[in-house]
Amino acid sequence: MNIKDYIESGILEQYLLGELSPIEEKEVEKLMAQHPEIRQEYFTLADTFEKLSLQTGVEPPGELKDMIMESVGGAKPSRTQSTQDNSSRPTNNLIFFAGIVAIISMLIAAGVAYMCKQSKTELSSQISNQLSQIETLNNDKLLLTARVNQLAEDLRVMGSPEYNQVNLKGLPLAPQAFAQVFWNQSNREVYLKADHLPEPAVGKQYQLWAIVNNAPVSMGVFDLPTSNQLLKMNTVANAAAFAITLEPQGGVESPTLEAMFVIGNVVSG
Amino acid sequence: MIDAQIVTRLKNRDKTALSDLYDHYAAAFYGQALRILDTEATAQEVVQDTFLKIWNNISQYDDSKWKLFTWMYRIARNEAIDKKRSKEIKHNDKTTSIDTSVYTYEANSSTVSNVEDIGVKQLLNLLDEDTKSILELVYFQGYTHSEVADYTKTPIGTVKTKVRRAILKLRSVLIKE
Repeated sequence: MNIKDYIESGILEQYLLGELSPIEEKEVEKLMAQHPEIRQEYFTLADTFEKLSLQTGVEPPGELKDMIMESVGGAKPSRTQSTQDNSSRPTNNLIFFAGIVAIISMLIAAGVAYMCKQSKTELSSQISNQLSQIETLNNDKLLLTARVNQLAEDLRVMGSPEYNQVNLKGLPLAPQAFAQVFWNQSNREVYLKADHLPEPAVGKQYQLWAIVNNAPVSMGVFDLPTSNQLLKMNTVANAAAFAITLEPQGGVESPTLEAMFVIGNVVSG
Repeated sequence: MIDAQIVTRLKNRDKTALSDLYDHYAAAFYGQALRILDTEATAQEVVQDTFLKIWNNISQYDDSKWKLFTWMYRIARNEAIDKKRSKEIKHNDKTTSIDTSVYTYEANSSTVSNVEDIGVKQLLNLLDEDTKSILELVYFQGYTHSEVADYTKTPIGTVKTKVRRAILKLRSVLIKE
């Protein structure tokens, strides 16, 4: 494995941000244990994230700390302690009784006020729950609309007579591989359907090539699409064939012919 | 702040250790939560939940695997992202603008305005517009690499490369300080 490519792939950033699945995390941890360079890079990266976070911090309000310390049972911030003084018992029973009555009515009033406040808070929290559900649904709707629009666009390209369909068939390296290019010769647009290519090795990326006047021209690198959508590639005016090679991350200037996965000639029509 | 010392104190249930930890990191986590959530009350809840989780789960912290900060950072980030996704969040327009900002991403890259801090702005201005927007979505607003790739119709490899280059660039500046 090429350690530099592995580091460059950005997987350690994803690990730090907690984006990887538990299996992928285990894999990263295994590699870190094996390769000091990866571990070193992870520590430097963690350090950068720490500095960046500290640098971009925003001071929270002071009460927040008190609340946190209180909820772990820590000392409350300086609060006047009510010293109990039992020495001066009320001499007059009436005053004592009036005191009790006053305390009880205060407690009742406080209780009623608390209950009112509670039900009001409950209601407003129910309302905000409902509102946020609506918001979630709206967001889902936006996502679905975006997806439907994407599919409609893909279908338009694939069904349009203006797009010349080029089938790229698997070479001995991957006989089962298959991809399709949809090329519009008048506006030069190129779309790629690449959902039948093997998963690339870490640090590698597929690169699409057009053969123009017997020379390869890069049409851009790509990762396998997450939801089978068409990928928009670079434009080309006049191509005799299209091919896909597997290259180091970021692509190369001229194709590695031994790493060619699929190729297909343009059938003019 | 030395990780090993503070972890030992936390594991010994020393509440002053939590207090020290708070003094050092609360602003970092609050800043992050504000950028992901954009409402102060919810961001404060996130910070509170984060520190309580750190306090309650410190026994699970494995110093051979994590730097303390990274462990806490992931807790804080997950709390903020969960909160954003959960129904608890209060409806208000600011939240909507963050949630929909990814859709309008191509139309206008106004996401920059969500990052208020001058220091960050200066740092971010070192990056080109495109890289800046991607870093903002991933680092500051809590979207995953693949979400950003999907929404911006950019190959995930490109997103990862851009985030990495941005971080390397910021690192070179931060390390000088």
